[in-house]
Amino acid sequence: MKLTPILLACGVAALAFTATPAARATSLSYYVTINTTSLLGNSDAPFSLDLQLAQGSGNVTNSVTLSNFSISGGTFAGSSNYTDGSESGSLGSTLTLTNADLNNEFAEAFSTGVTSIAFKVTETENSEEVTSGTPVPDQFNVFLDDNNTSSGFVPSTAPDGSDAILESALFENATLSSVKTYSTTSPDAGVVTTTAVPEPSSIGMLAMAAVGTVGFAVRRFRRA
Amino acid sequence: MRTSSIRRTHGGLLSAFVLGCLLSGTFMVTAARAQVTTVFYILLENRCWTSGTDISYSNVIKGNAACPYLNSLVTASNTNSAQVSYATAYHNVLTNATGDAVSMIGTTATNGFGIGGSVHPSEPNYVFMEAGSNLSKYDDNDPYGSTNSVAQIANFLAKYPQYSGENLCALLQNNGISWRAYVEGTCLENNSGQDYDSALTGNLTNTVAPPGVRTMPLVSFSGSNSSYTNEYNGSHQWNFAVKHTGSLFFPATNGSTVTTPNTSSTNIEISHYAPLEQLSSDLANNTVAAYNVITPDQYNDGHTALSGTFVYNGVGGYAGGSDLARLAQMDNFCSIVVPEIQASANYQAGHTAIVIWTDETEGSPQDDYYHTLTEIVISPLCKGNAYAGTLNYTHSSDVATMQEIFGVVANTPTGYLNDAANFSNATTGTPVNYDGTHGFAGQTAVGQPFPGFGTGTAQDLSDLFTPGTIPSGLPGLSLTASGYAFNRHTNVYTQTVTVTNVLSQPITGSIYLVLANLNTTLNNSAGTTVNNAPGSPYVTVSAGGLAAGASTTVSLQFAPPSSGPISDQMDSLITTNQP
Repeated sequence: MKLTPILLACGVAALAFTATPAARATSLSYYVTINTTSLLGNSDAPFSLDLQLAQGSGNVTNSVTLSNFSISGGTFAGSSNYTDGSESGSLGSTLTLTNADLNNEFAEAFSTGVTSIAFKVTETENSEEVTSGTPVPDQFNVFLDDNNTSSGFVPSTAPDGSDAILESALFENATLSSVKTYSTTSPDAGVVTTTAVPEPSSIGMLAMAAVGTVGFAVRRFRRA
Repeated sequence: MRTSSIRRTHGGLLSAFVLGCLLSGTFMVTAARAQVTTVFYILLENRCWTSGTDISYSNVIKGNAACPYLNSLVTASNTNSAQVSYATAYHNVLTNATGDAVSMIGTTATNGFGIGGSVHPSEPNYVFMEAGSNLSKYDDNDPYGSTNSVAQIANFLAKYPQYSGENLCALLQNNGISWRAYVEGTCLENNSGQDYDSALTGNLTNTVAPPGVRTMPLVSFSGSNSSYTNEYNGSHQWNFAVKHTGSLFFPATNGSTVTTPNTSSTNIEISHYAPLEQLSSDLANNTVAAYNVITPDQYNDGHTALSGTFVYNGVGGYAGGSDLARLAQMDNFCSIVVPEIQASANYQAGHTAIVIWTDETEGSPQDDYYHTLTEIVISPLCKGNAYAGTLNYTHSSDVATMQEIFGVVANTPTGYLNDAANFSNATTGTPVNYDGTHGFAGQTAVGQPFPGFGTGTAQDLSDLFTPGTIPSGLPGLSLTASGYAFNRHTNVYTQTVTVTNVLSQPITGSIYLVLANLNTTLNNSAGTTVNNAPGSPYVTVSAGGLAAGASTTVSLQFAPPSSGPISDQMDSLITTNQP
């Protein structure tokens, strides 16, 4: 694969949903942003966004819902170029992967001018339980696929050697910190930067809290 | 402080054990827990196994004609006993080698936490089976409401932080090991289709409430109506007591807070609770958990006699309300549920253990060593043929054994849950009369053994099993596996496994990760084992060991299996020899 150095920014942001009891999350939501600027002009285009839910021990049901797709500088192809297992929907609206099969995957190419891709991820978080041995969680993975070569995914620093740029294990009490992002590697040398960007609703709540804090401080200052 | 010094003592024992194992070449194979993979605890009430010369209650099981089934299990010539071992010296009294009480901090007289050397009434014993301590409980209060046992425990833990508030079922679920409490009479519908547990209106029926309707049973209830027929004793009476299900007293496993019960159907922990009426279908479908606690209602567990005459085993009738009726009801229940479990595919697979257990002694005095409790273990892995273990056992032995079987480590200095680290009663030392009324009658002389006293100290239940069945300690390594990522271009599933040394000392032997019973190919295998799960692929985790508390990560690469999920029995191995 001959690619110019690429710069990918995979931003993962903010969790949201909780359930009773409050200490445990039954789902986790966050935003992913992939900066594909460094792919511009690469002769191996078009690349594809590859989304995968791999089954773990296989004793619980989980799903990953992908929505709010936003693409800058270009478009998605409009239809998948690879599917496997249990997936439904499209990048045009909402895509759902369920762990009905060992591998559940959806890939779709994007045009050469694309500079960033963003989407929202909502994962159910049911922990695997086993009667013996070590439980293996279901896992959501994201790859970039180079369709013009036989070498496959754009290589990454993922420690398992999978070439994923994002891996997220699904389990009870999962938080944003359990979502792992990785940089691409030579010959696609690049740097992944991860930036936590709160959801809009969370931003609003944070802003209200900040205003309240400032107001309280001002009031105390004036009283003093 | 006594408790701390005892912990240090056993911490030293643990260290010595570790050192000995390291010197001998092989430290520990966590794969050993594969020997027993499924456990059923059948929790029964009050009746003594033996009571010496005390005849204040006609409540002794051993040799009692009202208990033909339980006695058949411990009769060597009986076919029922082929896979049975039992304890002859299982004590309700908890002492250590010097005769000191270890289960609690002092006495009622000094700090209000109850008498030393005994645990009564019921609830403290069920709490003990979860936490390795009664955690100050000395009553039968429900977990919430005006009596609020959960808050009581929380207050105790806040005052005495050296005690761990962890419980066994929480350790299991935190380690991804399935557990389920089969609680008779709960999670059943009333005649309006509601879960009777929380509705507490109408009449109980035999209809199992489906998931989504079930609620956490946090309030005791009883009653009778023809709408309900008990499938074991045939009566129309029901009697559920929260106090007999220990996991309901811990927020981690009751899905509630310290102060507020969560009886909504969305309580995340409710999936771990099922009516006993579901056990048959779970056995038939082979969907039981790894750790299963069976809590019969208060009639079938021997606590309370049915109101009418109870006919059993051809005997014309045990009078309602009588001690013998309670014994007969208990025996009748066991004679049905134990063979049902034994007939299941799960048991027939050869890795299941059934434990018949009673919570506390009765009598006068109830706490001397003549009064013993029931501990009958039924398993293909038992020594069998009614092997009569003579070591001294207590509830600590059970808790320690479950931690060892399932390899779950508590956040305590020893890794054991509180007094599960204290290896039950010893044969030497001076008995101490703790409160002036609960002494060891007839056992006042210095020097051992006393009548009814066992022949040695038991760390766990391993003497009741064939050698090597019960792991000799807690795992020195913990494993955390990531999920899989599939590279469709290379056709490889990859995974990372993080291995952590949970001991307080370094491991100097080589560390390997063994994947027994793997249903596909491990592409990056370093070879196959010779001495541990022979023929299994393995990878080298660390050739030079691992510092205390340190972690390291290895990557695994699998070929896609022919069907279904990737399946393996992943275990760590520390050895200086061929893996």
